[in-house]
Amino acid sequence: MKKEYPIFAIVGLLGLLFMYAAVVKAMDYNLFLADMSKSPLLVKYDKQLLGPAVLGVEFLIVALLSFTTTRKSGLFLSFFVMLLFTLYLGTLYFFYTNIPCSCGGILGKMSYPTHIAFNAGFTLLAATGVMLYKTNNAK
Amino acid sequence: MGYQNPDLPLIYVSHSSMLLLRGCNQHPLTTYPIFMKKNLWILSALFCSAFIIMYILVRGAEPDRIVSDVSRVYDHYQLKTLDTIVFPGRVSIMRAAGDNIYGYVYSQKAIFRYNTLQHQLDTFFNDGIKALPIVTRIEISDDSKAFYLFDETQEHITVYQPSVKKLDSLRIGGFLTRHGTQLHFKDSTIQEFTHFEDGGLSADGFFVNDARYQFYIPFYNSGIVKYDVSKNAVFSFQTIDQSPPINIAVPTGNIYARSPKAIIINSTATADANHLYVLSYVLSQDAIQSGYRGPAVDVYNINNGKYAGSFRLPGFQNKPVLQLAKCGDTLIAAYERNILRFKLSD
Repeated sequence: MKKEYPIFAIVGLLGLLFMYAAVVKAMDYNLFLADMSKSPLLVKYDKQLLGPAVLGVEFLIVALLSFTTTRKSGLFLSFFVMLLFTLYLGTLYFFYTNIPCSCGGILGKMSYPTHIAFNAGFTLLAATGVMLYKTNNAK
Repeated sequence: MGYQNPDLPLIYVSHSSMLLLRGCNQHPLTTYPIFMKKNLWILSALFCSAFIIMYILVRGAEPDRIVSDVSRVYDHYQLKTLDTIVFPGRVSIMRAAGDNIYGYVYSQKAIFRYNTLQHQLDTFFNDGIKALPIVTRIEISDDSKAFYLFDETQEHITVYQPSVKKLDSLRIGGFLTRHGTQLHFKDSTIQEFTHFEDGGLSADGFFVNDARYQFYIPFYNSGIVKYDVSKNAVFSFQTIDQSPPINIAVPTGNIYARSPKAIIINSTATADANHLYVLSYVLSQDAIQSGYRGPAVDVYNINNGKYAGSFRLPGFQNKPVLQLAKCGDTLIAAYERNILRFKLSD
């Protein structure tokens, strides 16, 4: 049982993070769309499709992490999405002067280096979850 | 190699034998290296996919700087640092007159004055004289006796005469003001900018005065407006980038927000009797070739609007230059809370 604690902690943290991020975005959906519209990387894409897609993926991750049978898929998807967010912020921070962040709540208030480090930390956490998951599942 | 559990014998198996082992109730951990490998493969594939997606996004991204075909000429001007003055906060507006430098620090809700002869910093205007929520623009009369402080609407002007400690209010001063896409002088419209459905955001800019002319310099395009008050005549000329006005707005509910197309071209400027000095973020060909990403000060002759040369301001604590002022042969630059004075030689 003790061996399962790390994976529970990782799944819990990722689930909380995605739930918080999705709810904050949904609560101020217009601001979220406006912030996305300011991004130089997303200028060519339809925000009316991109907005629901981002929210949908975040809620999907929470749902996938909630059930044992889909948890591993949730961890893979968490890793992929967190990696994308990290690369997205890193690209904006290092190569652009105009850096809008669509994250709401306390995530949006972080400085960019902190936010990038935070995202990178959760990306590694999701990867660790994937690698640990088999061990726990096999027990 | 992969994961190794010291308590268990390490057995590497093929996919076919893995199924066999499972069927035989073999301890599942014996197949761990293969699952580890599979997980690593999937993670690696996702890692590569994320990079490919970012590459696609970057290829389709809007540039964050305007690139000009021209090369700047740097051999006309020379800068020599004189001194550094620390103000008690970020200087968002700066003016210079005589031996004084005036800087508005919003966090202190005060205008501070630094005397360059006495090397003394004092409070020039604060809530004790008159409480102003914010000052968005400061103009000084030619004789330096009256100070005009604009509010956020630029429609209410507080006139302060420090020598007699007199306060007054004006609705309309003898200065250019902008209302949406129109440039006004007193009650007359002297210029109409290109209209976009953006609430006037694309026409956003700032004002520079010298003794003879008043200038309006847009942030997002190259069209500078010069107004000769004595002749009531409007002229315009282009900065070296020749960037046309474009719609830079994203509708957000009832307001307009700036889109990624809102790329700053001109960020601040100052003028003296002969020249207009514009801090430009346009990347010229020489900057691209040398890998220089900082801004440059482009100098224009104020009589004919012709480009006269450029110079680069030195970096200071990695802070951006927020304001420029010119007084005699001294160029003053506000790097957030630090004011640097330079001797500018032609």
